[in-house]
Amino acid sequence: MTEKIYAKYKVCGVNLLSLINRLNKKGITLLKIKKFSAKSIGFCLPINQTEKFFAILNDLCYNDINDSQTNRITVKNPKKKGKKPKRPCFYRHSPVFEGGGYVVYKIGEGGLFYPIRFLQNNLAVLIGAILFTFGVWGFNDVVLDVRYSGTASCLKPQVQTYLSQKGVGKWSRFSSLDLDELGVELTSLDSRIAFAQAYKRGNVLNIELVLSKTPPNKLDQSVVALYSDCQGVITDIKVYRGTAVVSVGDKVNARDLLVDGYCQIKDNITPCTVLASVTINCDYIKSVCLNGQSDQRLAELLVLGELEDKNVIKITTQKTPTEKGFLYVVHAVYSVTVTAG
Amino acid sequence: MGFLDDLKDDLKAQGYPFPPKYRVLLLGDNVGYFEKIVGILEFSDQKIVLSLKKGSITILGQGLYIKNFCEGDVVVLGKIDSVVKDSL
Repeated sequence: MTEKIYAKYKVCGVNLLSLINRLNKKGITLLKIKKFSAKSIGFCLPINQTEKFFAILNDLCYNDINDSQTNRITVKNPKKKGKKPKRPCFYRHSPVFEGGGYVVYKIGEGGLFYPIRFLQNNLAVLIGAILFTFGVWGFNDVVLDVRYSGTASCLKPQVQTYLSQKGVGKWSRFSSLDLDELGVELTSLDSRIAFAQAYKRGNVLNIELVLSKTPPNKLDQSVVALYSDCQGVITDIKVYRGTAVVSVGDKVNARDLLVDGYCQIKDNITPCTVLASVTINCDYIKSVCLNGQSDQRLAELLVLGELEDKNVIKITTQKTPTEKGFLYVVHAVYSVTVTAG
Repeated sequence: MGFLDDLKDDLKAQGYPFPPKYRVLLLGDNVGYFEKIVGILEFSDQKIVLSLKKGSITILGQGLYIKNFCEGDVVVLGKIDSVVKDSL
């Protein structure tokens, strides 16, 4: 494997061809020899031959012309301290070897198996990469956002409510969802939705809703007033047409007028049909006599069974001991929405 | 019998030495493969001179560099214009 990994070197000095020929004679394989300038050359070495390369460099003697006038040649022993070769100061890498008339810079490593060697030498990178991969893989399953698109995205509140009931939302997992089935369920959720599709894109659950082209049921134009059909407290009023005669927090009885069929524009009163919805919180109190001391939940369930079709908001129970057992007074609050139009 | 064997017989018959003292193989204009090279005499982008036991080979071209130099084998890459054998 080490033959497929090579180190890149840049050598500065004189008589570089002699160095190359000497290395070749010593059996060093030189790859990608390039001449940068008259006194610098670059080449690659198999990583398993670098030790041999430096050993050869260490044993080199070089001829140094000390006196240019006399051209006297002095042979210097590299083991003795001599004149250091001039090092180019612009080069960003520090030299790995200086001597024998040469300055050697290591400018990198490469080769087919270099990535493996890099990971061997940098275990933290390997661990980080593994953790990152697993993190991305695990995080890919999490819903980070739900986006609505399509012509029927105006029905987002209804769809949102339905999805929250199913437990679909932020931080839920894609693996627990059947997106095809969810699309079918959303299509059947409302008659105004012609087509619904849920699909995953990244960590976002995209819900595409297409509005039905067939018009919805026509509005009932005959309603001229909206009356309460139960006794309770008003919690929400939405009047699109008509005039509300009650306000939020008012107590109303059954058959009380809630929204009247007229509109007042400045001083003019114009009769109109009513298009409104009013939500009323109603109370339901029931006393249940049971023998057991811990039958509170049973009493509540009995009441909930009676209010099966109602939207129960709150339920409280008071327990009173009697001669025959316990009297449970269950107080349930449920909401009723009356609509007109 | 292969083509090279035929050639070997012909060369021997005509008194030429075989195997040859060097071998040059050009692959198109961009790759040159040289065998039995003793060393490099000159090296630049435009000119590479390889020394043989007797004589030298001059390669002229543009953007020349030595891809591999190992045990007497040299691979030269670049735009090779000419390869000339010079006798010493």
